[in-house]
Amino acid sequence: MDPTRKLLVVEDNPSDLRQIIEMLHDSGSNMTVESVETQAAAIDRLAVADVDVMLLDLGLPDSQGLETFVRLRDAAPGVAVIVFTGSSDVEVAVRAVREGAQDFLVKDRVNGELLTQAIAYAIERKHAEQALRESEARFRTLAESSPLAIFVNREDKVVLANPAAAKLFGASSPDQLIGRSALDLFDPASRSLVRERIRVDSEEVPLVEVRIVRLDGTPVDVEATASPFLDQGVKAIQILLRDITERKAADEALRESETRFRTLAESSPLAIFVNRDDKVFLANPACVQLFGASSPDQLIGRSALDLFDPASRSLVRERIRVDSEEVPLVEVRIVRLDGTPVDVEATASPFLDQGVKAIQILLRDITERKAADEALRESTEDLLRSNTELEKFAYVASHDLQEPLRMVTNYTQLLQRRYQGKLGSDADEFIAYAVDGAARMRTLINELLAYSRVGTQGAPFVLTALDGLLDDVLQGLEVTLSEAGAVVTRDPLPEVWCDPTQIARVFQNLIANATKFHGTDPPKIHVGARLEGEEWVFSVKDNGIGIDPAYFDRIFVIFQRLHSRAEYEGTGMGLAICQRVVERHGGRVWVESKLGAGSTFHFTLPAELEE
Amino acid sequence: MSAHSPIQILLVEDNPGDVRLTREVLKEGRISNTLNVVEDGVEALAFLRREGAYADAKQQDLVLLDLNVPKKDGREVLAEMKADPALRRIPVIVLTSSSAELDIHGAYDLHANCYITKPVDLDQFTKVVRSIEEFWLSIVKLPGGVA
Repeated sequence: MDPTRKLLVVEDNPSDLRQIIEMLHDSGSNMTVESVETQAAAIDRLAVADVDVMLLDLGLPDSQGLETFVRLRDAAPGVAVIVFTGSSDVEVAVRAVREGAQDFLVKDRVNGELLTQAIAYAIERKHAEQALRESEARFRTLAESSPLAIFVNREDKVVLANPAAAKLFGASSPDQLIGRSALDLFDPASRSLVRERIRVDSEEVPLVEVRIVRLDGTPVDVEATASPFLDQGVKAIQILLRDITERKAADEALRESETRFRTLAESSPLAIFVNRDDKVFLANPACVQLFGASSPDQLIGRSALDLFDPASRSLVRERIRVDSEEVPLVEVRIVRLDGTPVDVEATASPFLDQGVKAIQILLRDITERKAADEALRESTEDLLRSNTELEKFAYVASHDLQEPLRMVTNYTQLLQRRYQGKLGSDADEFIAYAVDGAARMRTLINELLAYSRVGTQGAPFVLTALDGLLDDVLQGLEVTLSEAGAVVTRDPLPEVWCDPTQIARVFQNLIANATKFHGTDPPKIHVGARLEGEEWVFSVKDNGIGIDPAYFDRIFVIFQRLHSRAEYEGTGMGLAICQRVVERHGGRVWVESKLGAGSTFHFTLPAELEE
Repeated sequence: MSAHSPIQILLVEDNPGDVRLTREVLKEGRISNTLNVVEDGVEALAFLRREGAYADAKQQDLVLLDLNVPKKDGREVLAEMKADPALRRIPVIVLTSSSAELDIHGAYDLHANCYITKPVDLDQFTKVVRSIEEFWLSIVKLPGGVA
């Protein structure tokens, strides 16, 4: 026997002690032996934890019977104990073994060999017990702290459940689960599967997805596995459950998203194909259609480069590469299977397809768009040409009209000058109408000329201080304003890039209108300016007769008038000219008004317009 | 040039209305003048050079030239006058209905002495004619007498 083993003999009878030592000596044991005579001395000695085994007489001077064992067992839980008893006390010795002693020996029936064997076995048994207890404790800790719900089912009753199981089932403690029928813990729909798969007589149960019912009735999806075992001779089964609600939701989300993307690709009007190792690997129906194929198989396996027109290939090779970043839109030309070329807009995104560099290419047929662009360009050109012609016509017409007009004006005025009051009152009246008509026609032609010149004879834009420009405009209108008794107020105006003559004309027209269309009150006019984002918004606000919103668009149309000549003079060109001027400057003009409630004309000019 | 002999003015104008108007307005003025009228550019140069039917024509003190006249237009007449040493000293007032920049610059490039757009209004036209009288016929020393 191992000489390092230490035996403590607790024995108050010297002859018994001597007998023990002799027996050990005779049997050849060389283990260290110490002895004490009282329980108190034993407890003191055991405080130094180097004793392996104790040979214990239950009758000591300071303690008797089972109590002797219990005290020393508790004082040294790691020490094996062999109760050494007289033949009359065997019953107590048996009780001691039940309470944890490893063995007992009857004093009169023991010999050396038996004693050394008993000691060796007691030590081994103690070690095994301890290992078992430790392992049990470890497993308990594991089960207690496991995030997996674990419960043990025996005879269709829950006999054990860990805190995670309690939590999973919404129980306040594992006790609430103990004693329940295990089958009842599962959703009715899952019970047949549970009954079939999770059985005490089955082998290890592979993972199954089932649904449990929490104590409050809510169902929870779980993944279950189980291992049958013998629990104290009774067939039992340990069941492990994992809440897979989140995983199922994630799976579902992934599946949905996959379906969505698949549907998207399948139904996309964009042609999509995936290129891997310069081979078409995938193609959607739109792609099949674009290339005039009858099925994706006709495209799959082809060199992607071959799908492009030879003239586009260098661009494709350069831009659409697996090692490039996201490819910006490029216009290239593909070749359909029947050889006809198609203009497309292409973009691509490289990605890893099962570890292989691949590129997803999106193509959009832009044939129609290109045709539309071309048509738009042509019609814009036409419009521009016809606009230019119209302007030319208006200019020539108004210019050539000047000549006969001059004749009419001059001679009617000459008539008036020389013969006023000499030909009778009828003649005076007729001449007056002729003079007036000629004067009006002159205004009209001048305005038409001005209108046609906005586009063709505009001056280059210069940085203009509008405050000074407005001063000049108001000075020019001085007579008109003072005759009407008009009061003009104004915001400070900015500097802008503009054609000053034309912008002066806009202010002049708007202020003249505001003065002209006044009601019974004398005109009050405010010229405003405010910066809104990148543009200045100017306004000319009056307290005049206002405009019916129904006519808002019409007033900006050339020759459109809302009033009879007898009410308000005018050619119907002023606002049309304003609009053309403002539009030439990249601005907008509009009106806000209500009948009888004054009008505010707004126009914008870019705040940063270089010439 | 005698102070008593009337000023000789050549009006190159094909529009009789303008001719009559000019005549009427000049008649209302204070300066004694003779208004000679030709209707096209060829006639104008012939008159100035006293050729053919105009052999007896007097030397002109001032030319009122419309740009848009038949046969030779005003620009050609102006160019030929200014290229002709015998005529280049005669002041030429371009009196036309055009206010186009191209016409104005073109006329001055050809050494027009001044450029006036015919006013549409009679009062304005009267003022123009009075100004011509005032400036060209009384203030300015014309080269006529020296030649």
